[in-house]
Amino acid sequence: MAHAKDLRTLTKSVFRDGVLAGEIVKMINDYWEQVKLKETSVVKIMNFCGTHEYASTHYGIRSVLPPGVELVAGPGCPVCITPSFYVEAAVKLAIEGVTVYTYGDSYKLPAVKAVDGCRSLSDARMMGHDVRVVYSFLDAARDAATHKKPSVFLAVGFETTCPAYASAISNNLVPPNLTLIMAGRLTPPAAKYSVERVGKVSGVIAPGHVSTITGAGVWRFLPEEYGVPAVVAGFEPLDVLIAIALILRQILEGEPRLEIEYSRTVTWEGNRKAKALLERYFEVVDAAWRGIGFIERSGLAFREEYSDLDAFRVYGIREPSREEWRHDLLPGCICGQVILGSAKPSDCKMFMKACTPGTPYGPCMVSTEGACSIWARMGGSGVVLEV
Amino acid sequence: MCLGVYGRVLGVTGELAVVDFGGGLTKEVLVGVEDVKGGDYVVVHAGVIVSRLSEKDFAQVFSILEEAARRIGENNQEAMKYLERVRVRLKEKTEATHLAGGDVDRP
Ligand code: SF4
Repeated sequence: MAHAKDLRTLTKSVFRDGVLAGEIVKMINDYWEQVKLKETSVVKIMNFCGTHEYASTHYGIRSVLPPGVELVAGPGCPVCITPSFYVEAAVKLAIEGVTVYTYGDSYKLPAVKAVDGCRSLSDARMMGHDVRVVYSFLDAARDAATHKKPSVFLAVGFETTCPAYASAISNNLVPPNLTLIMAGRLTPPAAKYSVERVGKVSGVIAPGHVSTITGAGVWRFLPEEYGVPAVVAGFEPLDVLIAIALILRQILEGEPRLEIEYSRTVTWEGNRKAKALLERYFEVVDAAWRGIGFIERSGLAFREEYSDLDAFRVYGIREPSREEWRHDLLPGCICGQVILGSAKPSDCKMFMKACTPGTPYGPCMVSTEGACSIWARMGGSGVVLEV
Repeated sequence: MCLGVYGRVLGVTGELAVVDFGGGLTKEVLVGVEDVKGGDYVVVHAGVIVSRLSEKDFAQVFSILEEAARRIGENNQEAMKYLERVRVRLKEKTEATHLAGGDVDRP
């Protein structure tokens, strides 16, 4: 019997180590002292991804950064940016007797318009409609195959999640009674939108698991077109700290470029198999992001030859066009600004008053990756480095 | 939804793999990457293996830091000292983990 190196244990042991974290924090401070001499303004680093926001908040990373280094949330929470229209359509189908499958994260997602008094899939279930929460699309496909009733899956997600749909389809695991409300979105166009529209971002911590699929190369435009340093990072506290150190170093050297910090799983070219599957079933379309609006070439839609899998086609639902799209946040909710890094959750008047994780009013309070939900559960900027 | 869970592949049958997530939790997931085999460490997201964890590249991240410190270290002795301490600590941690055995291979 041999001892194996368990990479999970090793990851936790190294990337959550307090001593190493302390050394990297010193390094960050050291870089910052030198950056300060060059830069007059604060350095604003965008955590593109909700899971990075989680790591930053959970481990209290903001509390150990120098005052001039600011970490802001980004649009990388797929549940937060899923247009209200998709939730309304799913609720409507549930009320009409269709079985609706959803991930736990999107189950409580509140829509702007209530349908028959139901504002979310959780409301619809409370009214006795058939809404089922699943861990994966595979679980939904298997369950739908057993009862054979008309069913839909609320297929939210970024590049990391969408291969799950394509893979199940290509393996003939999707029964004919199950179709998808395809809400897949692509992250690089949203990052582009953020850096173009939202003031100055000094650096971007690019999403780690999205990049396992796309390859890190998709983020090259950040340094090359916008002069913004970018580091593809993992999700342990040290990963985030190292990414911050690398971004500061790039600023100091005046040489913005793209680096991979998360090299234990991300490559430059990504996951060829998953990319080929996405390409086979989906085409890239202009698509709406909740609280933001349409972003060019940022959505995935079924190709014509696979339109029998598209729930909107099958049930005759027409998606609003760019001209018809209306702001889809409830009055007072500033999620649109939160996910673009121009406001903090605590800037919202509803935060922890009318909007809490138990009774979410806006979409960013629902998902475990929503910035408002993270701040609500972890206490905002965090004060303790839990490593 | 960048959430990914690390697991170890117990076995692969066609396009399905059984993955051990630790703590007694195993689950059947779709194989979303090429050439996965039993014993591989993988990242699973929403029921699909999206990537493999590579031990080979594990410490590479620290070499990025080393390179960073070397550049800045030309006029900053302190940065070099951090790095030396990082190197020592990293060695301690990885060796301690390996000695502890981590996961034990089933015979
Ligand atoms: S606290 Fe609630 S209402 Fe305010 S921005 Fe966040 S989700 Fe929207």
